[in-house]
Amino acid sequence: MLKWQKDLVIIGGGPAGLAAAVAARDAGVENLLILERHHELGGILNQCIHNGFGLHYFKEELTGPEYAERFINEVHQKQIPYLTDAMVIALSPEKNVQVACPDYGLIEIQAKAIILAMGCRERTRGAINIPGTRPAGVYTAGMVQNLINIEGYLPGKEIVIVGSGDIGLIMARRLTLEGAKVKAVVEIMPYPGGLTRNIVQCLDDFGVPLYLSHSIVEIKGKDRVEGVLVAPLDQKMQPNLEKAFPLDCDTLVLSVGLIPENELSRQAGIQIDPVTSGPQVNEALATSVSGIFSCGNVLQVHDLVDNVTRESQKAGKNAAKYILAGEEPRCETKVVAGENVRYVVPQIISKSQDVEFFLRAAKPLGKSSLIVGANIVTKKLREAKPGEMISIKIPAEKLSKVDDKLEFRLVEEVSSLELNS
Amino acid sequence: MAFAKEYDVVIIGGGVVGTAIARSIAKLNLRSALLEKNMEIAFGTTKANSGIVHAGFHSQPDTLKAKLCVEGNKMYPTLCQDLDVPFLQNGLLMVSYQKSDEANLKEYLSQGEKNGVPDLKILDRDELLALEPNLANNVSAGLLAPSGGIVSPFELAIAQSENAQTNGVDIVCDCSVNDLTSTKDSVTISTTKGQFQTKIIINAAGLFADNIARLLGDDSFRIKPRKGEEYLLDKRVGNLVSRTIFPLPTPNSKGILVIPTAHGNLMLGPTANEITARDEFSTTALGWEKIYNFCQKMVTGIEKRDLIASFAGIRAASDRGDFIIEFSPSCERLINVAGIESPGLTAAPAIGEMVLKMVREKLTAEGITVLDNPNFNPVLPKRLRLSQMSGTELDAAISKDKRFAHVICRCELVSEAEIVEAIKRGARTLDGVKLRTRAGMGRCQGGFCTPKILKIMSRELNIPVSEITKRGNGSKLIPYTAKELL
Amino acid sequence: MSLTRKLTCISCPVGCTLTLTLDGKELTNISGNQCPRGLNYAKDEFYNPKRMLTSTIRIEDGVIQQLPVRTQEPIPKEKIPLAMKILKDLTTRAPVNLGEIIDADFADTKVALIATRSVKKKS
Repeated sequence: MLKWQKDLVIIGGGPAGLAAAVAARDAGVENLLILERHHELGGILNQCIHNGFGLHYFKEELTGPEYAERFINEVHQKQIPYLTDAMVIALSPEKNVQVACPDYGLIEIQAKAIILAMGCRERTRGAINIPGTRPAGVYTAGMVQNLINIEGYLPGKEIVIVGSGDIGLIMARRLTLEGAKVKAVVEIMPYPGGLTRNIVQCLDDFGVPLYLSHSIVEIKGKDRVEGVLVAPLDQKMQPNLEKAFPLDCDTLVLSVGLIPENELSRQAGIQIDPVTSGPQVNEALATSVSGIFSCGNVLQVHDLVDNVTRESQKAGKNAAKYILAGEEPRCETKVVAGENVRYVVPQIISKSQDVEFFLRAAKPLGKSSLIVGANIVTKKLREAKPGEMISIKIPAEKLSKVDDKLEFRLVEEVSSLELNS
Repeated sequence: MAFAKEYDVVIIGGGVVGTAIARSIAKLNLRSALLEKNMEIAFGTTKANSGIVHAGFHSQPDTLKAKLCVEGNKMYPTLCQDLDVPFLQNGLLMVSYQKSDEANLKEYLSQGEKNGVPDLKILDRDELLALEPNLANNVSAGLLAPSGGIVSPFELAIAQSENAQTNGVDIVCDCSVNDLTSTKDSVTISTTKGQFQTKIIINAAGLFADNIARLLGDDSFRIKPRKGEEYLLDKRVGNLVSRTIFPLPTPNSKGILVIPTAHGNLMLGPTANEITARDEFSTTALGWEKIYNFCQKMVTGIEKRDLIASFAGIRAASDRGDFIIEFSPSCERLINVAGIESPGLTAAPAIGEMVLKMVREKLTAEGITVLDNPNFNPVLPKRLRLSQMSGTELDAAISKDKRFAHVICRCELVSEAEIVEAIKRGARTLDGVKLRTRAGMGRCQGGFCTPKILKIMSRELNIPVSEITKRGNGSKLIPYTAKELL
Repeated sequence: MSLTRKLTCISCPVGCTLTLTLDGKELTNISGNQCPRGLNYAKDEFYNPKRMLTSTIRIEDGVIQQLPVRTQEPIPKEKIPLAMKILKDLTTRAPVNLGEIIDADFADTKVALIATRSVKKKS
C-alpha cells in the first residue's frame, strides 16, 4: 500500500470537483489531488450530450461535454494532479482516504482537507417498489443515457418513461431520435417535473403523450418487459385500479429522482440533512467534520450546472482558507426551512459573512414572496416550482440582525391554480 | 445419430438440493452428471430463498424434515468453511407479543429438544431486549435457538456445484428434460442437449419434480407451488437485529420474518400464497403492505425509505407434507427428492448424504462395486474478494492482478478481477455474475456498474453486448446498437 | 381577421409564453418575450421551425467509441429524420478536437456539424 500526504483531496472529477480544484489551486493550494472513478474526468457531463448548460456561467448555451472540457482544460493548464479509475473505498473522520486504482494499487492518503464532490445516484425500481415481474428491460434514465451516449447501444425499441423531470424528458427525445418509439411519459404529480421548454422540444416535437397524475402499477413480462399497467391517481395520490390501462412496451425507463451519494460521508461521521440527503454545511460549505467540505450534487441535487460551478468554487476557496490559514468560521445560527420551503442550504451560518442561499419550494406556487427572517430580506417571485432551485444572496449587514435562527418562508399572493385558469 | 452419454448417476435439478446431492455423489468413484434446465445453477427457487439455516424446532418429530434439518444444521459450519460461502451462526429468536402465546413457545422448545436441537432456551422480556434492543416494546417472551444461522443460498448452491465439478461430476446447464424412458438396466433421458443414459436418476427438479416423475409413470405426489415475496432493505439498517426474528408460525408458513442477511442487509418476508403457475414471480403492492405492517410491529426502526429491492420465489411444496426422499414406486431406478420446502436449505447437505447412501446401497445390491473417490477434495480454494480482504491481502492480490484495484461495483465493492473470475467459473449471464460476485445487488441496483459489467462480459465471453442476457432465453438486456432501428 | 396563438419559447430555460398574432398566413405581432431571442424564435417557429440537433457518431481509434456532436446552429425541424439517418452512417477517426467541423454542410442545411469534445487517440 502506498502512503501519500496531500493538503487537499477532491473526491469526484465531475463539474463540482473540477471547479473546486481549480478554485483551490487559484487560492494557493498546490499539493492537491482529484480522485475520479471513471476512466476520464468530466463526471456526468460526459454523457449529457444535449445543450442547455452554461447559459449563466459562460453566457453561452453549451452541451455537457463542451462545458466539462473548459474545466478539464483548466485543470491541465494549471497542472492539477488527478487519478482516474480511482475509487475511494474508505474515508475516516481523521481525513484518511483509502483509494483503489489499477495503476497504483491501494493508496492511503492523509489529507489536511477534503472536498466531497461525489454527485448522486438514481432512485431505482426496487426503491419505489413498482409491483410486477423481474424481466430484463427496466432501467434508470441515467444508465440508459450512458448506454446510448457513451457506449452506443439502445436498450429497447418501445419505451415507456416514468417521471417527467428533465432527465426523463431529455431521454424521451434521445430515444426517439435514436430510433426507438417512446409510447408515453408517466408522471405521478399533476404538473410536469421539468422545464416547459423540454416539454416542447422533447415531447410535443415528437408527439409523445404525457400522462400527468398517473403511475405504473404493474410491470409485465417474463424474461423481457412486455408491457406496463398505468393507472390514474386520485386526490390522495392513490391509483384507481379500475381505470388502469395497459401499454405495450419492451423497456421501462425510470427517471424518479436523484439521491446524493453520501455513503463515504456517513463513513466519515458527517451529519447528513435528512431532507437534502446531503451533508449539513455552514456558509463555507464545511461539513460537521472539521476540514471536510462538500459541493455539487452530493450536497444538494442541483438543476443547473452553473450553480454547481459557483457553489464548488466557494468550497474550493474555503478549503484553501482552511488549509493555508486554519480558517474555520464559527457558525451557530441555524437556518430553518419554514412555510412552503422544502430546504435551505447552508443550514448553519455565522452571520458575519455574505451568504448565497439555495432553496427549493415545497410545492408549486404562483406569485409569491420569499421572506427571510423577520423581513430582513423579501424577494418577489413570479412563481416558485419545486423543480427550480431558488438562490438569494444576503449581505452580512442584514444577517447580523438575525437573532437565534434564520427562517425562510414562501408566501403565495395568488394560488398557482388561479394563475393557470 | 449421436450416442447417449452414459452415466451411473444423473441428477435432474441444479438448485441447492441437487447440487448438494451432486457433491455427495462425487465422493463415490462413479460417472455422474447434473442437468439444470435454466441457463445457470441456482436460477430456480434457490435464488429466492431467504437463506435461513433453521435450528429444527419448527418441524414435527420423526419426520424427515425434523431429522434432516437438525443433521444439516450441524454440517453447516464445516460446509461453508470448506466451500468459502458466507455463513453466520447468529442464532434465531421466535418471539411472542402476548402472554397467551408463551405456552406455544414452550411447546416449540419441547419439540425442538425431541428433535435434538441443542441449547434451546426460553427468554423473558428483559433478556430478550438485552439481546435485541430493537424488538418492539410489547415483546413478552422468546425462544432462543443459538444453532440457527444465515447463509447465502445461491452462493452455496454454486459452490456445491463447483466442488462437485472439480471432483468429477459433469454439470450441464441450459438442459431441459423432454422425456424419460426406462429399461431393465437403465433410464434414458432425452434432453434439449441430447440423450443421457444412466443407472440411477435422481429427481431434484424442484417446482417440476412431479412432471419429471410422471414421465416414468410416477403419479405419487403433486407439487403445490407456494409463492413468497421478500423485501430487501439497505445495509444501513442491517444490524437493527443480530438474529433472525420469527413470530409464532401460521398453519402454512413459518411466518413473516425480520432477517439480517449473510451480507449485512435486512430482509423482510416472506408471504405465503398458494398459486397454480410455476413461473410467476411477481411482487405485489399488497404483499409489501402486509410485510411492512407486520415487521414494523415486531422490530422498531424499519422505515419504508430503506427499501432497495424486492423479489418473489416459489416454494416447491408437495401435497405430502414431509420431504419426499424415496425410490419411486413406479421405477426402481428413480429416486424422488421432492417437496423440499422449508427447512430444505438447512437439510440440503444432509439430504445429499442420505441420497449418497441410497445410491451406494442400490448399486451394490445390483452387484456393482462402488468405490470411494480417492481424490475427493471437499474444499474449494478461497475466493479473493476486495470487500473482504485486509490491506496486506489486497496489496498481495493487486500485485498479481491489478484488476483487483479496479472497482466496478461501488455499492458492494466488487473488483474487475472478481467479475472476470466469475465468468471463468461459469457465469454467462448478468444474473450469474450478480449471484457470484454481488455486483449489482447494492443500493444503486446496478445503475453504476451494469454498463461496465456488460463490457467486461462481452470481452471475456467474446460476444457482442447485444447478445448478453439477464438470465438466458429471451432476457436480452441491450438488444440494439444506437441508430440501428433508423 | 387576427387570430392569436400561444407558444413556449425554447431559446433558454426560462421558457417565456409568447403570444403570436396572425393575420392569415402572416405573423403580425409577437409579445411575451423577455429578450430579443424570443422574437426570432417566434418567427422561425411560425415560418420555418428549427431545432438544435445533438447526437453521437462512431469514432474509431479513440479513447472513447462515441463522439458527441451537434449542429452549430438550429436546423429545419423537418430535416431531422434525414439528419439522423446521415449520422447513422457517419464515422470519424481520432484524434478530434472540440469544435472541429465534422461536416461543413450537414444534411444540406448549410449548417456545420461539430464535435462537442476532444477525443485523444487510443494509446
